[in-house]
Amino acid sequence: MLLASSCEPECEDTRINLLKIQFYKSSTLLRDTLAFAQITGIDNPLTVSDSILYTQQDVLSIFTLPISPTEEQVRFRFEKLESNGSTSIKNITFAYRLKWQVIKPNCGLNALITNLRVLESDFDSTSVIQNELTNNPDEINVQIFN
Amino acid sequence: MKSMYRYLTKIYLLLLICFPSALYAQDSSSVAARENMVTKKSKPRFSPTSFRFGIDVVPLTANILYKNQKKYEATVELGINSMYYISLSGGSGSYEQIGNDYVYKSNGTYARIGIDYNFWHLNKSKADGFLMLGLHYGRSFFKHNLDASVGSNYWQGNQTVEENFSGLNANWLMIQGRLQGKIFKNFIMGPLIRIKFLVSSTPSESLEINSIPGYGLKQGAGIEVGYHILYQLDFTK
Repeated sequence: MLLASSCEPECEDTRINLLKIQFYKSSTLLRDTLAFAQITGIDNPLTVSDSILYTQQDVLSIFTLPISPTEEQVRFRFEKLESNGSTSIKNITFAYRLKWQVIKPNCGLNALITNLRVLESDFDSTSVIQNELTNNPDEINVQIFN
Repeated sequence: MKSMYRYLTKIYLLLLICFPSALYAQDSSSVAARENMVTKKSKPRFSPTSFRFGIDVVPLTANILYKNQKKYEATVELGINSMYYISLSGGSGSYEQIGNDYVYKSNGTYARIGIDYNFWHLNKSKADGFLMLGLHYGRSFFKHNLDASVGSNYWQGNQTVEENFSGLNANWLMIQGRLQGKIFKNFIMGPLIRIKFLVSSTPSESLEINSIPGYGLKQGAGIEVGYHILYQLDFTK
């Protein structure tokens, strides 16, 4: 035990609770760059008073959404301004498996999020391409065809 | 018929003249084999020569130095022909890890069984000693739990998480090397090193196994040192 203690693994980044989604055009299957009037987390209670994650100023193809470390399901609302001035609302619900991991006292508690899947979606179609959340900034978890 | 008998007698005499040593050697080797059989009959091949029991004192020292872990272990061994040692050891262990926002606890019991080979008998000196290498199998039965306060910058945070899992088990193989000497009378002491390979552990649904009693940290190096103090009862004296 004495020797084993000195050979413990190093800390990893424990803040792996962000999932990345990328939008594609349904018609062409090419990457889409778009803006939403609002993207907000719904249904589960929030810490912040301002629940807006993205606004009309954020013109992006990839959006990063926070996962709840205490629930195994989160739901987001996407509000989009249409060209005719109306607002369209689409919701998407993600479910996942949460597993706790302790490594070293200084490393804190690590939340392993696996088995990510889309439970419900108002978008044309979705595809989960990486069902485990990692700290790789280039890794996309879900493709959304709109 | 008489001619056949004469013919065989001639061949025998010819062989006796040409290869007398070969015929003698064959005769002497068969005598030696018979003697060997008699010796083997009088001395069984696998006979118990000693019984040893004792403790590993390194965990006891660690219990004093590290307040977050407790481990108690005992060993019994049966010596066969002073070369093979069938070893059975077991104990209990508990481990606690306290982080800024969590407490993880693991505790349970474990047992190991294995056989060691004593290379010391190759040493021609008359000194009593043991240079042993063996293969052991270990199994642990344990439970673990986590109490944590979990927060999120976005979703409502600082909620309490409680995870309790019992009925867990783990299996491992272990190579054990020991160097021991007879210090006085029947007391034997010496250091040991264990290299452990985790074979399997029960999947724990929402809490990753961190520490296994008897094995140590699941993601550790799998190397352990110890120091045995054993009392030996000799059957041969």
